[in-house]
Amino acid sequence: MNSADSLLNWQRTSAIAVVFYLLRAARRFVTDGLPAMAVILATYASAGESTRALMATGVIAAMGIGIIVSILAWLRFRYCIAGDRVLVRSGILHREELSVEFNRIQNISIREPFYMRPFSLALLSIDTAGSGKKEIVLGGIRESVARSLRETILSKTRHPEVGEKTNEQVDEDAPSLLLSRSSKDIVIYGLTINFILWFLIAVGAVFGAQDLSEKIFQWLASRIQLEQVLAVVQGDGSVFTGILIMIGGLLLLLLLLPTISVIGALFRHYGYRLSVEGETYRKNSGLLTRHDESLKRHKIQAVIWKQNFMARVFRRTNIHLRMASAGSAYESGQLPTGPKTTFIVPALNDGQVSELSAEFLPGCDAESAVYSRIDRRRFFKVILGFQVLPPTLLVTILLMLVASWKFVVILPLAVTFTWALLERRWRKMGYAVAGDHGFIRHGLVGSETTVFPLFKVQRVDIRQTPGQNRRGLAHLVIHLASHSLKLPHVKVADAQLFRDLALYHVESTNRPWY
Amino acid sequence: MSFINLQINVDELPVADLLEMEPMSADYEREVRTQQLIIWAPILLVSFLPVLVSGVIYLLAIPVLVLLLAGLIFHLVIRKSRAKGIAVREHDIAYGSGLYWRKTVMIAYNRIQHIEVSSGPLQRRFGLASLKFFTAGGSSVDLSVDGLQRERARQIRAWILARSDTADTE
Repeated sequence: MNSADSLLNWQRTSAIAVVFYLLRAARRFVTDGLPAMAVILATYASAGESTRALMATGVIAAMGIGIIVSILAWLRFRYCIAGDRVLVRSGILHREELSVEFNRIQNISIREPFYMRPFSLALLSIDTAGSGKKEIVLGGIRESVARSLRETILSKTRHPEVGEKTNEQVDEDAPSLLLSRSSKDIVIYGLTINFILWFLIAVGAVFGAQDLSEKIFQWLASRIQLEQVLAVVQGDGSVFTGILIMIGGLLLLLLLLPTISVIGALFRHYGYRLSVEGETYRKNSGLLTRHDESLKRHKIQAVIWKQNFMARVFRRTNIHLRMASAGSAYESGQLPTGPKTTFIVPALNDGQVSELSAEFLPGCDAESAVYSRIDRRRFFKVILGFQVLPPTLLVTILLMLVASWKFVVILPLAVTFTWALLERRWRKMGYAVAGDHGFIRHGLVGSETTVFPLFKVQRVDIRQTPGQNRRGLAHLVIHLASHSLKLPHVKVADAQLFRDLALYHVESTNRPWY
Repeated sequence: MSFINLQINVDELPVADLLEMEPMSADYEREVRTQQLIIWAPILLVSFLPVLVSGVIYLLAIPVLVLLLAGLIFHLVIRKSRAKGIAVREHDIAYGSGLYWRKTVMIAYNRIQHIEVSSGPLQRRFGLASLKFFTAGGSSVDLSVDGLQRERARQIRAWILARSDTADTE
């Protein structure tokens, strides 16, 4: 406490923060500039001596600018704690002053990156909810200060409903360990996380118009502009070598991806320990950089059970806890499931899943959820008839006219393939209400079930197309503070009942949702 | 209702389906008409240019076509504006819109983060205003109701603010 109280004046972070700013800039440069990098590399390979020298100078200059900017960013950064709010001043040219009330803080995490550990320094990131997407990172403050600051903030954001009671409880409840993960668990987790991504990329190209896969596909396509790479490679080779290089690269990528994701998972989650103290969950993990995240139970907006194909093979499920997010991550150009508003509990077996779900969602009776299905005919008809068939038909006819009539086989193949996929998706899709919790399930090979307390619903939309209107069906869209869930082709009566139930729970309680 | 498994009696739920939608103000229709005139009048004038410049009488077909198209869109837009409706209830607000593609949005007052009343130049001429509701999670407006009389918009805002602890802006 004492060290946090001494932050009442404007403070500067440690000089190590420069490294943090530099790394952050480098990461942004790599993720945003990936297509440019490929082009630059290819140009470099085929360029003459003088061009190479010029390019090298450019790279060194860019690095120099990066270092100078990072130093300036550190010099300009000040923070202070005043009453029940955190104040931050930052910005090199565009000055900015930010003030965040403790109450608005969703999530506080402490990270000890490897370059800060020798100096016992840490990064404290503060996530806020509400209008405007803001995150405060105090880079390079003393680790003890970071911890006491977090304690101060957490103690002041006590849930109104829990109020005084927990104050007493905290003394009694020593932190108790809920879960620890071995390296084996983490390796399994690593194998399961990104698999869905590779699989969906393949499937997503042909299928799943409203799916996550499409977003990922678009995201990848926008970053890796193959045409540009190809154009450069073609400069001194034939089209054939270009294609060969691309195929080789793709194969390498497919082999590399699981390895990368396992290594990534180990770095991030090594020595995973989840403990609970009163209302607060605490997660410790990390190989080089230690991550120390905390989350209050009442901040959980939804619990997602994720089991994809690989996870099914290992009979494991990953739990994602979703917190309120300001704006969807996808809109700001990041991948749909950013780590910022998701708290991951990896590689659980069935027993652990139900044990922990009961912990995260008190009063949730998942056993008694009876899932209903969406309208099969309409679902098949809309996707197959309106979305898949017309373009396939067009392409087939074109190919038949231009090349050979034999291309007619595309049609039955496409229909059977789509049919099989739709059948699986339809079987997985379901919705249920049990007690005061809602359940929505999606899936293809694996499944993803979102469980949310009904009183945390923010807004409900019911949409009807003219076709649905005739058949008494509708789309139901449920907006949570963390994300939105869409159920297509539900019976209107069911959609309305789901909505009325959610509103009933929202309106009949004064419990705050945040 | 097989998907439900709960302790409360479903029949006693407040049924949102039976809500009575209050249509938009009559001034709103006039605003929409004016808006459409502002859009179509210059297009119609320009469409006469080919005839006037070339003198070929058949080119009169262009303004005729434009007029037909304008008439059709005009008709649909007016019907669409009539299809809008809101229901302000004890604990929540519902907004229905859409002529063929129907959409109903419902927000409970205790989930509203803030409310905004705004009115553009054309809206001000007709004494109208837009009510915008924001909830958590979305970065954009969650519900935007155009075509309320300014007084009515303020009245609704006051009603909701009295029932929740939300902030408001104008």
